[in-house]
Amino acid sequence: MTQYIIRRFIHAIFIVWGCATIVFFMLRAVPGDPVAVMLGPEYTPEAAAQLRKNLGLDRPIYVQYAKWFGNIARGDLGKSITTSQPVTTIIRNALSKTLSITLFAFLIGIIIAVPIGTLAALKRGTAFDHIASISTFVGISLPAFWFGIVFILIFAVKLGWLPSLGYVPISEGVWPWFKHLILPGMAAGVGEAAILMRFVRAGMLEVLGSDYVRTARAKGLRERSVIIRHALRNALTPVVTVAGLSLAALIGGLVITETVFSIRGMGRVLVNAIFDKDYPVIQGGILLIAFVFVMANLIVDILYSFLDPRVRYG
Amino acid sequence: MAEQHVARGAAAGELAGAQAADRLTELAEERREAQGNRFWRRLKAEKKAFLGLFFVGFLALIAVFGPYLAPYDPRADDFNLLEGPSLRHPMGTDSFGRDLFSRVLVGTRVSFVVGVVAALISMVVGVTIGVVAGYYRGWVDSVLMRFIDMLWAFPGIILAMALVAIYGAGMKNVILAIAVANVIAFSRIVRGQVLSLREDDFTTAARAIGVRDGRIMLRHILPNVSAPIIVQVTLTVGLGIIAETGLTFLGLGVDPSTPTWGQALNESRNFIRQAWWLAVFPGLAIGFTVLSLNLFGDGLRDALDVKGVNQT
Repeated sequence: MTQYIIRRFIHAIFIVWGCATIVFFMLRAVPGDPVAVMLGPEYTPEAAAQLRKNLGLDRPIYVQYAKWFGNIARGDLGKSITTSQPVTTIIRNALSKTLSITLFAFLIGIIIAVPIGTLAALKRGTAFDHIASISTFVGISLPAFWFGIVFILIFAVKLGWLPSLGYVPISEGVWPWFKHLILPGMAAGVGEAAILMRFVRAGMLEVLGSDYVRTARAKGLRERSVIIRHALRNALTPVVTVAGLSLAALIGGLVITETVFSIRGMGRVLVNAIFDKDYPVIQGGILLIAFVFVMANLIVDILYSFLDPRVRYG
Repeated sequence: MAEQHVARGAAAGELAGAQAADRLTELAEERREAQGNRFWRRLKAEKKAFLGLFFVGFLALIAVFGPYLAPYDPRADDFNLLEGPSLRHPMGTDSFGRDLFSRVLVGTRVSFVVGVVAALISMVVGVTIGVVAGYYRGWVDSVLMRFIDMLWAFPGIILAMALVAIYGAGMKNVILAIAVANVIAFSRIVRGQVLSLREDDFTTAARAIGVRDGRIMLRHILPNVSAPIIVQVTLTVGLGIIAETGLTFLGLGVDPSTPTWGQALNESRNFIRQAWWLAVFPGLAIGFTVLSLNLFGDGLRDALDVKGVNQT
């Protein structure tokens, strides 16, 4: 077990190193002079020389590369060109919002997917199963940001139940924080629920036909006990992996959904930085999202190896 | 004398090898033909795929003829601002007084072009990486797949945003950005299949009679991985359309003067209290298109009995 975790951990470190290398070369891949691109109309040879010095672009590439990794190891992602704020400060503020919504959306996804997916499998071929199946198709096919717009239209504009815009930190009260989280979380959670629901249904169908479920029924166990204690537990094991993988889609969808709700999370920070050609912020933001994604998958892999011991010996 | 025997023997060996290679190709073609017939039989039986194909065909026609079918010039701001849906304007008008129905019709072409071209580029690059990695294994496989693992750590839309940040917005760059983001799925799916196919008897036989690697990959292995590739292309077109509308919605996509669904949704944000139609209709157009592609892809997967390809 320890060996498996160490192996996965080394792999994750290797992937993070690779991501950091890709992000390092991102700035160097900008066509023409990246400094001229960043300065835009404010370009003067003096300003360019100063910025080049600040970013360390006046040094040989191997020195830049070594410094880049040295800085990352110390948690220093440079300074924003537009606001001169440290990139880590900008990202820390934004990431807390994005992660709150991501976790909430993830939770909504599971709360919807597990019971409906299970019921759809138990009622295979019925109207309920067909409706659930069509709903998953619709959920996967529509972009999360569109759900965001529609939810604002229904729950904020028409019904006036929930706030349509912004984010309130938890320090200003749990209810205001939660109220602002519901609509963006639901918008991002619908797609997540649709993806997970398909796997829960498929997993349940497979498990329900297995010998041990038949044995459990033959022993005279109550149907609820058979479903919850025997079938569901095993059916959900592969769903853990899918949940980890779907995190990318969730974060991806969320960076756009944040714009709909005017939340200054990672997505909004990235988009603004792209418009401002603020490359240190773009690089820092993208690297951090990749880091979160790799770590989330590392946790999922380790969790999965606990749930299914065959993985560690595979 | 002995040398003549050896030379004749070698020539005969070469001839036999060439004949065997031809026969092998013939057998592979016969096998493909049989598979093709079986595929059509299954596709006909798969209602989901047929329904999806029908919708996709219908939308493809709109993509081609949309600009000619549009009742008004999608760029002409000749009408009342924010007029609700009516017989004259089935989807209402936007904040500039343009007919939304005409703009949605014309937008179909942009979305289709971006989705289809991006999917084809991802297919070519991803399949090449997957086939080469799976066929050669060893260090070639390690290098290529570790690179794919690294790209995989970036959520697709983030990768696309990064590329737009480097090369700028615009249709061409958006297509390339979406294509790069989708290469990963193709290469992983194909590599997995090729790893087992390279050990199959027909590949071993082809290698034994001296068929070159390039030919084995192209003529023997590639046709056998076509089923998951076709399914993945279908699903990738849908993913590409969603990514394009997302990027355009953020202002990082195609030129704002081009009528697109993402652009229409972006404009709807400012008038959500006054004009619900601005958000609802372009969204339904996206949903219907991607739903049709997903239905078709899902049905194809069942018809072709493909495993391991999904929309996640």
